[in-house]
Amino acid sequence: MPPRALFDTQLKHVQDELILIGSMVEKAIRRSIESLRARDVELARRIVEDDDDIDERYLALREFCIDSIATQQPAAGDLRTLVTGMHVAAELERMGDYAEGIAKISIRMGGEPPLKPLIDIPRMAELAIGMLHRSLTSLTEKDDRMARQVWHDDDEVDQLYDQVFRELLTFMFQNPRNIQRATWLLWVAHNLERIGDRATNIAEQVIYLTTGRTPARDERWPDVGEPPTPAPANGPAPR
Amino acid sequence: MTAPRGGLRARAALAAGGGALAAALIAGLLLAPRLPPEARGGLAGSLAAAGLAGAALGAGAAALVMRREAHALHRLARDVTSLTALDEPEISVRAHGPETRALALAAAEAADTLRAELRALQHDHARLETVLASMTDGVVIVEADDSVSLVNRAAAELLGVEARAEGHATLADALRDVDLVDVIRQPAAAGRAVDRLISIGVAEREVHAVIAPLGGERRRQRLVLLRDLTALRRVDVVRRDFVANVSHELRTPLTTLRAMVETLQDGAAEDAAARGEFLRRIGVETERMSQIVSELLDLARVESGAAALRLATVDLNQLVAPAVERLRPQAVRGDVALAVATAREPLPVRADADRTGRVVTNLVHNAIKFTPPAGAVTVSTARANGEALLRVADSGVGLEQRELDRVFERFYKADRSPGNTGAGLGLAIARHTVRQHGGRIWAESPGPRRGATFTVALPLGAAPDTA
Repeated sequence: MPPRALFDTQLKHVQDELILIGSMVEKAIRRSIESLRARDVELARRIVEDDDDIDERYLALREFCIDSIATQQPAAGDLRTLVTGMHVAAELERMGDYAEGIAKISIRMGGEPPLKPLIDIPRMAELAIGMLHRSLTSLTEKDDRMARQVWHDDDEVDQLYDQVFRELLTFMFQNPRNIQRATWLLWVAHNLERIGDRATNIAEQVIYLTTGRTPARDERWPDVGEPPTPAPANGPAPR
Repeated sequence: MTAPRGGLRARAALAAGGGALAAALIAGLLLAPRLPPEARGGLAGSLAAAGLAGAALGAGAAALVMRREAHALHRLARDVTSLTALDEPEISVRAHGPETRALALAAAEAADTLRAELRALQHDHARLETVLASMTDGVVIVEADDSVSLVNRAAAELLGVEARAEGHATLADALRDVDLVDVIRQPAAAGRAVDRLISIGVAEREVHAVIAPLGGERRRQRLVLLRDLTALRRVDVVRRDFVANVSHELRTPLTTLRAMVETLQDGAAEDAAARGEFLRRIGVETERMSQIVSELLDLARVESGAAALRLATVDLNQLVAPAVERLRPQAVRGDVALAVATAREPLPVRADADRTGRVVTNLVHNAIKFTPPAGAVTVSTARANGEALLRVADSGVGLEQRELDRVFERFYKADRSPGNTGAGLGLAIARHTVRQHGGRIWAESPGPRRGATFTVALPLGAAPDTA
């Protein structure tokens, strides 16, 4: 195989692996919330075990990228693609850890009934999964507009997090016995908020890949419309 | 095979020209010795001129013939090149020479055969595409190099990707699901059919995936069939829940009954106050069991169609009042405000009064049950578009969007908390009953904790029967 064709195959492999690790992370997030909702400790344990597969796949991809850089000595766009691939893989691995974190909370909660019906947390999870999915699609399609939209969506996740935070705080004020269960749910919401942030980081990498520069936070709106109303200043720091 | 005679004719024309030149030369050579020396120069000049004129004539004729034949061949070549386009005109057989004409006829015949086969292939292809597109099972074709050349509509919907009928996308790019890609890539799938139960796509649909070899040893394609089992699994879960629910619902009062009977046997029967209280509770528990069994029997009857309707023209407004009054004590106990707003005009419907009344009772009972204290339930009737409408609106726990249809499924319980003691049959019975009357029933809710409205629409009939 000619060197260029071989290198193209390697770049394609990197992209495919990112899609597959992304698919593993999406499933881990969704299942972790399901384990919480259904109080399914067995499912939560499986998620913790499966996180090792995500880690292994991430390490293998990182090694592959390093080998490709060492042996092919790419430049310009090719080098950016490999470096971006490594960054995105690291973000996905961290997202997997957050899903594992939710599963561990689910295990700690055991059979205890949840403090409140899970409404906003599953919505946060769906938003975060959607952001992850679209950020990876924007990567494979080199679509920086879609990537900017992912940034937009992150504000919605942050707002929901703020809402959940204040609601859980109210539960804690009402009855100190609620503190433990409220804290568990707060950790879950925090992990989902962080997953949203990591998806935003992937979107940032896509913009870097397609334009060659990292965008500033305030230059995202003209392409995708006005941002939603910002969260109140006394809410938790989103990042 | 016959020789290309067009070529022979061209060569014959050339040969004629050459022959004329040769004949002139030979004649010159033979006659020259016999002529006086002074005449030889003139003869040689005449013969040379005649020979050259003959040669030029022959060459001109040959060039003309060749030009026309070349033109015909060129046109034929163009027609043959456009054979694959079915809407192109037929192959032209307007060739001048018989050889070219024979070639053109042969090409036209071959073209007709080829076009007929192409049309048949296109027809088969279109039929196959229609079949693939309308299949409820997902179909994916994977090539020997692990590229994906086909994803049908059902597979695309299951996976949340785009359908494709051609191309060479990678497995990861086309399917975007790690579990499915891993199953397809496993070595066991290379030579024989394998099957797995996996969850795929963004929506985590449960599917039975079959990967079978396709295209023989040479092409080494794989056919991936995906059968969605989510609905079946859901029915299975609902059925399991039902068995668990019914067992629980029947076992709980039975346990209570046994305990109370044993207590009475052990001497409590001697105490008049305890005996009275125990007997009252035995009555309550038996009533609860009786209601569950009665609901099960009702559902079985309604579903099998064995329960014939005793239709009469009744005023829907008159069916509301008794149901509401029967349930008012329950509303008072639960601190729920129960209001009625029936239409001023009569709403005549052809209905089985008893069974329609039970539908109203069931809806109002549910509304009160799922409304927290200080909430409100409003029962109203109205006329709209040739239908009589009954609305039961509450400010209770509400429903999620995905539950709006599911609440009418048998044994489905939106609220699975231990406090919800129903068997999950009431709304299923209501839906069957309303449909038997030719009506519709549906649920609406702005979301959890924001109340719900159940509406029954029955076709308006003649004026009510007078008693």
